[in-house]
Amino acid sequence: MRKTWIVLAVVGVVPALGFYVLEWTGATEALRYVSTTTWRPGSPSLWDLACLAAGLVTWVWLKLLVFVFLLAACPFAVADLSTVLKRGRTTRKGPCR
Amino acid sequence: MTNRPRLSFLRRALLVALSLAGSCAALWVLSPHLFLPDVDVYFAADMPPDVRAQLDHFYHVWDDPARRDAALEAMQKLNPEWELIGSTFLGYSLANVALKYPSERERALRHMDVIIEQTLKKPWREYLLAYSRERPFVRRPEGSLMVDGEVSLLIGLRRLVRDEPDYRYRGEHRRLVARCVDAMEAGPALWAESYPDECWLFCNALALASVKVFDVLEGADHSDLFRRWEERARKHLVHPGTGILHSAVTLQGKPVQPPEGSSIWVGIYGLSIAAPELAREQYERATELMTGRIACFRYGREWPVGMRGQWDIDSGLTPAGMGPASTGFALIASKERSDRELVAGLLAMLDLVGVPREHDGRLRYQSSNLVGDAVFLLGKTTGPAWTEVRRRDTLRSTSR
Repeated sequence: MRKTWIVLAVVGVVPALGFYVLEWTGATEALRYVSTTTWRPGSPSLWDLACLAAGLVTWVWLKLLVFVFLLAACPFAVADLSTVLKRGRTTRKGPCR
Repeated sequence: MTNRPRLSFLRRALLVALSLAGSCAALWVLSPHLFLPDVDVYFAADMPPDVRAQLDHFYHVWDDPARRDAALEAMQKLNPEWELIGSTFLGYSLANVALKYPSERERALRHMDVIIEQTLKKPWREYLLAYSRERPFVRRPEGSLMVDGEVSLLIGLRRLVRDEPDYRYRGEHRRLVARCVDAMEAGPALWAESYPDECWLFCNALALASVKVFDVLEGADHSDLFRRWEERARKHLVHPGTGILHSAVTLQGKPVQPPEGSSIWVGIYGLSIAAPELAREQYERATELMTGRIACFRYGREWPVGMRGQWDIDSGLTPAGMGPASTGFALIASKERSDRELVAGLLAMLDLVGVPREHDGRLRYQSSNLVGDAVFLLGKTTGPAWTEVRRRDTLRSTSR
């Protein structure tokens, strides 16, 4: 249960934060090619295209998809928390009874 | 016993999938509350922070001649039309800003004057795409309504904000408006050429708006031209399948481009003061057939539902029917018509795909460029200029 919500939260948050990393490196400048309608072979380069795709995906993740994963993580986090509260300790695998 | 871990994994995967699906459904339902901006701020008396930040970005570009020239040259290289549209649409925004926010008036006027001066420096042919030189214009003397209409509207709006008796471009304004009127009157369909034997709705509607602005400034009367233009457009220039005006026709009125989002919204914007009833009808048709929706996010379609055209320099890429140009221009038309629901949905989409980033208080859209940013700014600020034109027009007609 705990692993599930942590994985969901990480999958939601890490790509979203990736946008800021791309922005810090200057890779998000490639986003300008979205509004360039005269693409030619070699312009934008493959690197620019990769940066463009990464920039767009991480931005949409930051604005939208992060909520999908964080909201999906909630039921698991709540279940985990209630288990902790009921048992007074964290859930962990024990011997089969 | 050996199947237990596998079943556990499947059960967990199913639970995660269900949870993700539930999350998507919840977000779909909650999306209006989470993602739609408060559009009332764009109709209120105070300047919204994003308009302030966008203006500061443009002032930053235009205040430094080297920075401005580099930005305009970059647009010229991508598409010469964009240099013109980027400059004129920024000018139209500044006119609206100057009329609505008195504290911003002097600064906006100063920048409008620089834009007008810069725009008039270039010969008109330099604003046209290269294919304009492949054959001559049909009408003589040659001229492009795209340039004459957009530039005369720019000067007209500057005069609408403040019209000094010795304003230096009065003569140029009269000359440009006269060229627009002569060119439209010469065409059998009353549509004039933007390119050789291509008469675009975008340009003709802006030229009509420019003539209307001229009328209220100078006490002229071109209502007969507006009436005849509207009449012919209804009879001959409406696409039969959709009821939406063609994007481009030949000088004889033969359709060459079907309805497109990159034309109709600006057409509606221009017609709003020159042929208001036609503009209202076209807006209803266009919002029905040329907009789309994903949850609360709205977008403009490049082609009407059920139609598919060719990608070109105007349309841009149109993933799943979404037109970037159409979406930006739809913002202008919907704001002008105070369609708050569509404005909110389009701004939410703009926030999602436009990648707005603010640095040092200056906002620009990273997946856009100078012309796109100018279109968005006009979309957020439009309203006061046309309201002023209507007010003066009403005053004129009551005093007659």
